[in-house]
Amino acid sequence: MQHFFTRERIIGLIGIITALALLWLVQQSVPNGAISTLRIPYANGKPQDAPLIDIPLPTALTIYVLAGLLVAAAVWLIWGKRADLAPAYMGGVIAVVIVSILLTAIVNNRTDIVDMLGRMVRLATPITLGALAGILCERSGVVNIAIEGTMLFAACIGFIVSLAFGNSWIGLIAAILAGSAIVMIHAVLSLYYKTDQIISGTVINILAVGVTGYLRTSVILPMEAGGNHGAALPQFDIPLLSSIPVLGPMFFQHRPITYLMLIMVPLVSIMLFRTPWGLRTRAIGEHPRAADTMGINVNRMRYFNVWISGMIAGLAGAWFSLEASYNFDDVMTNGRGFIALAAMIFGNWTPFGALSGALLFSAADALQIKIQGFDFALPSQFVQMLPYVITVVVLAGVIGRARPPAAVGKPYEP
Amino acid sequence: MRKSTLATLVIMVLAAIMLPACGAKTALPCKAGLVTDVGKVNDGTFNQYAYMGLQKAEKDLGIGTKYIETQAQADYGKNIQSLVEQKCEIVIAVGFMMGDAIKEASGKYPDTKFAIVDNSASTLANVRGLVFSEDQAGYMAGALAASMTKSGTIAVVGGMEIPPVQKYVKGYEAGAKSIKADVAVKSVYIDTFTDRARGAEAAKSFMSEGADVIFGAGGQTGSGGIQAAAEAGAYVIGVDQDEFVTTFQNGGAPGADKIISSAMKRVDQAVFLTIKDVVDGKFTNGDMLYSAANGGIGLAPYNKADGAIPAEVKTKMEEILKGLKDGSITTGVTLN
Amino acid sequence: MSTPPPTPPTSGWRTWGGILLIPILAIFTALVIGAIIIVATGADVVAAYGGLFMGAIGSPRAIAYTLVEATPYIFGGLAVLIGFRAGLFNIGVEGQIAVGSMCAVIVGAFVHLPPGLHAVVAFIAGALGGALWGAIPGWLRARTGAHEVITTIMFNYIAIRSTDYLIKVPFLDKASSSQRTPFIAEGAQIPFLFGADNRLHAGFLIALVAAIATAWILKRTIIGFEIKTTGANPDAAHYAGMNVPRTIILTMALSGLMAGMAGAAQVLGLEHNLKASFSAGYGFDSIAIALLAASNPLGVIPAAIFWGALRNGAGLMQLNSGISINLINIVQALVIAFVAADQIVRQIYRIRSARSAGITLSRGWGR
Repeated sequence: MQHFFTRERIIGLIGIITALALLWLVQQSVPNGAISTLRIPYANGKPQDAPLIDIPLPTALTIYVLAGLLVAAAVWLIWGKRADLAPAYMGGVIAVVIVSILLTAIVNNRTDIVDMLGRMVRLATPITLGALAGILCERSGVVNIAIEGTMLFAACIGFIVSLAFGNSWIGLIAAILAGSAIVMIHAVLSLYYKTDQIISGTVINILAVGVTGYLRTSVILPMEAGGNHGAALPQFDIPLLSSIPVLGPMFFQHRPITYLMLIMVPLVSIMLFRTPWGLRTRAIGEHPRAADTMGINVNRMRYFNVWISGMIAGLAGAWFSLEASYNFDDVMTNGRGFIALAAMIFGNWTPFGALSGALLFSAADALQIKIQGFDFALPSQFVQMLPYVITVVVLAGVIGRARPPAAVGKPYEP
Repeated sequence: MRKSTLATLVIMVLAAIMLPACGAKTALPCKAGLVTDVGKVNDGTFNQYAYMGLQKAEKDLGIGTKYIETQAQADYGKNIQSLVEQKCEIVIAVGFMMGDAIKEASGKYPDTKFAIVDNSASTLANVRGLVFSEDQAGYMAGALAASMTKSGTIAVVGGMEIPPVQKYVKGYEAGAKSIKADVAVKSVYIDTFTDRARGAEAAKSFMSEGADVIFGAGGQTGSGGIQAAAEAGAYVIGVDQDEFVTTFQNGGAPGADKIISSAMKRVDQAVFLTIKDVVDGKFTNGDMLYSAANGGIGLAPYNKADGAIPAEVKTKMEEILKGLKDGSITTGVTLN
Repeated sequence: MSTPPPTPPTSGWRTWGGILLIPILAIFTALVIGAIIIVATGADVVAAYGGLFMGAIGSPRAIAYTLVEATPYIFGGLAVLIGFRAGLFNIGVEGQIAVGSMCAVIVGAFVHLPPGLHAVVAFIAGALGGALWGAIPGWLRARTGAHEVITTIMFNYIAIRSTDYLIKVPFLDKASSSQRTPFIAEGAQIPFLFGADNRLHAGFLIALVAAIATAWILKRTIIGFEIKTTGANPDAAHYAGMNVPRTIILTMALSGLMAGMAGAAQVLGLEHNLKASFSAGYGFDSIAIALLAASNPLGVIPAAIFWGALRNGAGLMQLNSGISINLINIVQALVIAFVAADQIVRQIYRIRSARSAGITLSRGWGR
């Protein structure tokens, strides 16, 4: 039984079923001869300007072709026993689903596809940063499910400080420091007191909700009522690069934290895999005993990594209150910290992998925002569900190949 | 265990407890009590506005007030009961979900007055229903938006798909079509009232589809939407309160010249006036409909955008308001 | 840091004293810190804590209300605890409760059965709904390795959206101005124990039975043994010939079963209908209950009652002092922190560190 259901067979089967579902969707809701137009505008073009190019796609035919490709690839996957390509195939399936739903939603209409791509990058920012925070922690052997709480706390403190000084940049620094401070509760509980790491993370998550709610009532609202003002971190368009079509709006027309995210992904990747610090971090996450005999102070190193991870999670928190909006609301992180963990696992504990995981989720999110604007037959609850369903499918499809650091979650006692 | 440590702690706690107790002032008897829907009194939704009304009543009328924040829907009845037992003369429930609980309480405690926000009181003898014509507010917002759009596309960022929000959204569509039959109205519901980031992205998404007037009708989610849209240069319309004052920090926030108005639904006023009626001995049962006719809903001032709005649009808006008031204009909005 | 030698098990009240001491001191310490916060914000501690106390246990009716609040927490705590014992972290209790209450209300309001039997069938439907919703992440974990922490969180969102749709569209009570399902049939109600005024329903008794049953299952049955062995050491369980994937699925199903019962009891015993939109957060609090109970099924009962008391007393606390409910959240978080990191409490009160068995909850993300 288990022998029959190999990974590539399951994944291939999922792909084929998905393809059939897409065919059914087209049969149900796409009128004959319908055209969906994808619009690519100039980088700084206004909606009413003539676009760079309009790509008219025959809706039904395009989806048939995509579905056919899925089936063909599935057959090849199963016949070739290419279990190694299962995750990539899964990503492909999801991409096809997203494109097909988009095409169906905008049938006989057109949509600005570049706008959606830019949104994908922006919405992926807190998830990617959260995942990077998780990676730094877990690579050194400490489970961190406190990212949600850390982000929430940092968003709150960052906003308070920003209000106090009337300067979002100072707020940004405060958020980073706040993240690094609260995460030390996790570090001390799990490293010094050897509390179960999932529990100490949960403590921060629950504590953050209470504390930030309290601070909002007793500090933020009076400050706002007292006339403390400020503005979100400004958008910087990178000269020249920002005017490249497609790439400009995707990568070079953002606000600071999004740029920082784009920089930090390669940076953390290099640090982790190309520097002595990275080597030591991975060593204490895989085999702390051996690392110890090599003269590495395991627990000190773990404290340091948790601390840095708190800073990154703090940066992610600042995205909510200082970049994406300028305000703080109760539980404004809305579960993004947990999505970040999923992205981390999806990416097999590598920064670029985490980025792609975050982009998959944010693509689904951007899709649901986009298609609700069109008359789409699906009830909004189901559209809103998409990102979560996709995350589950992705995890089920890939994680078997993902390998966490060996010593993660285990306290080290020299 | 070292007993001395424990003893010290106990003494510390007792001292801490006694300290403020000495200065405790005697509270006024509870005139009005408020039960929030699941949420907090400052959560930026109708809970907060109702609480503002309660606070105003406490200050302006010099009465004692109390409130309970509901933590779970199962607690509605219990919380209402707690306030009744505190001898509050009127108990105000915030939110249409509490309809059943109020109905039950009104039979159980015939001597207490009740009010419920966003739900009908039907024929209960001691209950006042505070209901709002959100559709009229949305209608005016839609008319204004359709008058101001150059692209012919306008949009609305809604919060959770619940009746008050649906009425705003549908009223907005109807109002817009009344001005320009061919105007395209795009709408989105976002599954929370507290996600400004996604509200902002929804607004930007609409702008890329050509929308140039955005109505935010979903608590903080909608506020995030109009904030982002205004910064990006679109005209925006706020909801519930004059968001020029709140979201746009009284003109201090970027894009404050882009908020052309807000569709006002003064829950705070309704709560305050209801309490005032109780204080003045003028409480009546039945539904109190807050509509254009009695100024319970309406449009906020144009504020900084005043100069940008053509005189004929202003005249037209006056006409619509007048029509809604005298009933010559109906929004035609029904739910289900 | 040296590891103290394990203390031999002692019998009688000493053990119980040892088990209870830490949670009690943790609660005490958390309340002290809460008092300091109240004082810092200039509110009245006597009024606040007096209200909390009176509201929670100040009268027979207050006690009944506390037990009502405790009921879903007992089920929820058991749900989390069963997972813990197998080394699984079920954060999906919230979603399983949602599915359980949905199933119960569908049977309770839309199926016609003789009274009494109706309640039983509706309750079982709810329990099974929760079990199924728990079993899917269990299956995913066992067959594909998708970590239950993530999948159960995603399943929470999916469950909450789905029930929202079901309540608002197919099962909406169109006669009501609130967005809710119709009321369940009278014959499907779980009866009140001391009249509707005291709100205490027989669901509480079922919860007590569930706790005892869980203790029995874990202690005396083969599946309980398999759960514990899988939790302690999956490799050993595998080599001992146990079917570890099957145990994982079964554990999650059992865990979901408890959560489903929480939802069913809430709907059939207390609310009698299901309302749209807002979540009560029972699922996340259940984690705390399982922690407070130190993974002992019977310990869940006092832990849940304490939690219910905090939640129930919060109303009167707020009435008396005008303090925000947020304070209760802070106290709750501190209680968990101190219980989880019992060494902090031991240090504060200079209690000799008796190496407790410790709660093995997570072994990271691996297997």
